[in-house]
Amino acid sequence: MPGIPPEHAILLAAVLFLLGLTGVLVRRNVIFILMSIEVMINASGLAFITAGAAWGQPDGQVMFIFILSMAAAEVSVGLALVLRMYHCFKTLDADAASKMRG
Amino acid sequence: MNVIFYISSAIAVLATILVITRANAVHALLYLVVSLLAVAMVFFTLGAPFAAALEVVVYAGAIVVLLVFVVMMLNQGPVSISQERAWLRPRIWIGPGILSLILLGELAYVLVGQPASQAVGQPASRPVSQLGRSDRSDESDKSDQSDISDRSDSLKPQASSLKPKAVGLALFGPYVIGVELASLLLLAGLVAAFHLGKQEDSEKEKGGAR
Repeated sequence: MPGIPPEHAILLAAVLFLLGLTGVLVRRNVIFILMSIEVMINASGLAFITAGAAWGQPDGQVMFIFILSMAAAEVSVGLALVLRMYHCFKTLDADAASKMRG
Repeated sequence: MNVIFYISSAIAVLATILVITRANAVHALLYLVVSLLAVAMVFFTLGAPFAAALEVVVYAGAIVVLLVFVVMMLNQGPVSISQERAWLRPRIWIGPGILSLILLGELAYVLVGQPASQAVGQPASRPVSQLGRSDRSDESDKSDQSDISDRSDSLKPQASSLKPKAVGLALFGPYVIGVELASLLLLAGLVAAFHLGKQEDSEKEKGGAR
């Protein structure tokens, strides 16, 4: 039984990353944008895991743990900002927050 | 292992497509859970069981629960669903979709054009230590440090999957500064989330006074 070529796993990571990028570009709801960012971060973690498995070193999984903690911090701050934005604008439209006022 | 990898990657891609096209936020979140679990399965087939467990626990267990709570608090009704449908016209998504497809084609071209490297997740067919050593010697900055080369001597993976012990030793050995920085980042995130959540009350009082 042949193993998995690393190119295929990297290709999967690329597909997931670009799907997340498309979600960020297309959606206007802030919650969907956050979900798409999670998908992108997850895809980058998949690329790190693949590289670590290809070299047989644990460094890829260490980087994945760092990416995981970064994603946790990002989503907590992002959701606090979403709640605050909903409190201010009464909508989740990302275009509603396009004016920078003091 | 191979078949499981391809099935779970197909599930991940399909679920992610459904995440970015759903109008209802809760449906999209459930598809996001499916996608994350499929990616965890991919991690398992790639020989990273510890990362797979962390993916299930942290992503599908903690981050998605946070998103679910926010969706519940904001109480998206049928009105927002129809608004989402109005926002998702083809005129909106056709441009970014085509650009992303071009990018994907470029990435696939670059990846396919590479010479084929050794397969992942295959026990005992791959000289892991020699592979790691020879590629590590290319990186001059890493091979100079003696502790890293000692670590790669002492941590030859026996099978295809990397044990959590190896990950832990690497995490608290040469990467301990990264652990400190991650703890700092998490503390900053905690303080920022608390601050942003707390200001809501004072804003409400100010709005009531106005």
